[in-house]
Amino acid sequence: MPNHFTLSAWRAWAPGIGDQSDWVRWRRGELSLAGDVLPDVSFLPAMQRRRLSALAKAAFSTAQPLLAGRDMLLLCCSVHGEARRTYSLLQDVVGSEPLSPTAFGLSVHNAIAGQLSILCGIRSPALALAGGDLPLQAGFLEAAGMLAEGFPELLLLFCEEPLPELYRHSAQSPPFICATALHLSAGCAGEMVSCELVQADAGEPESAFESAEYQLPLIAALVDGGGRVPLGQGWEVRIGG
Amino acid sequence: MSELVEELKGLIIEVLNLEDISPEDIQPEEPLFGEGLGLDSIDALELGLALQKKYNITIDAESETTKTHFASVSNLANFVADSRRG
Repeated sequence: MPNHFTLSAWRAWAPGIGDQSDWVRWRRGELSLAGDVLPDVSFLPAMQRRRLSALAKAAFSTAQPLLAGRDMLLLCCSVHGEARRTYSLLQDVVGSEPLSPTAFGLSVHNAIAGQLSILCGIRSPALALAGGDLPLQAGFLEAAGMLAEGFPELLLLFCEEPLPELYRHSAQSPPFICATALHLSAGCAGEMVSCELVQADAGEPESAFESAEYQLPLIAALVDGGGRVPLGQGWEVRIGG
Repeated sequence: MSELVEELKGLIIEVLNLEDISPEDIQPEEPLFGEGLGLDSIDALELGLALQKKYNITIDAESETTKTHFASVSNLANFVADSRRG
């Protein structure tokens, strides 16, 4: 499987950090992730954005500028997806309350992929991945596989939100919403940043990369324009250089 | 009745999360679905549920008259008022 591909653009969102210059300041330690700011999705008509959760808004705010009206394969990775929506439905079940049809319809793991696909007019395949303890590995391996299968380009999205309190003793989640979108294309093109998926030493035992804040090392490498990001089980993605 | 109309406008905005829309933007006779306000079938279910919770009204999804009741805020107000009396 060809393991070289091109990174032509990226976007990331976390509370208090919206654009590339903010991320540069974050990388320098001048800006920290904080606050309960919501992602700006004012580019969507009000009637379209009303059903988006805060997590879906973060996904849109990073993915939409990269899609820029183009139709491409969507790979949406999230370990827990919109768990808060599901949790509120479960609370209604416990309280014997009727369930909200909107919340029910959007509580599935591919809801964000579906909403992106519908609202951005994407007709290419859209795939939702969870990725278990290794979401970065799942996302990058799938992306490399799809590019090797002949898709010329794709959008790879990672997004996570804090889990409801109840789950926190048994599962990890980041303390804030975070989304990262990457526009990847097959092969290596001149000036663009290259990506290489490498399995350094499969046999070597090492700890899986399973931090709940797994997007931050990736964002750090993106801001730096290069770096090696561990994906778990010996895999890593080498960005640039 | 006009009080009920205003109450229903508020309910619609709240349960359907209509950002950027105020009660004055909704005309009582304007169609709620498709043309007009532009609500869809999921909204119809959501709104039916809200009416059931707030006014304890049972709505028959199969009935043709349900379509008429949901056509506009004004029709909804008549429907709610009649159901309360009944």
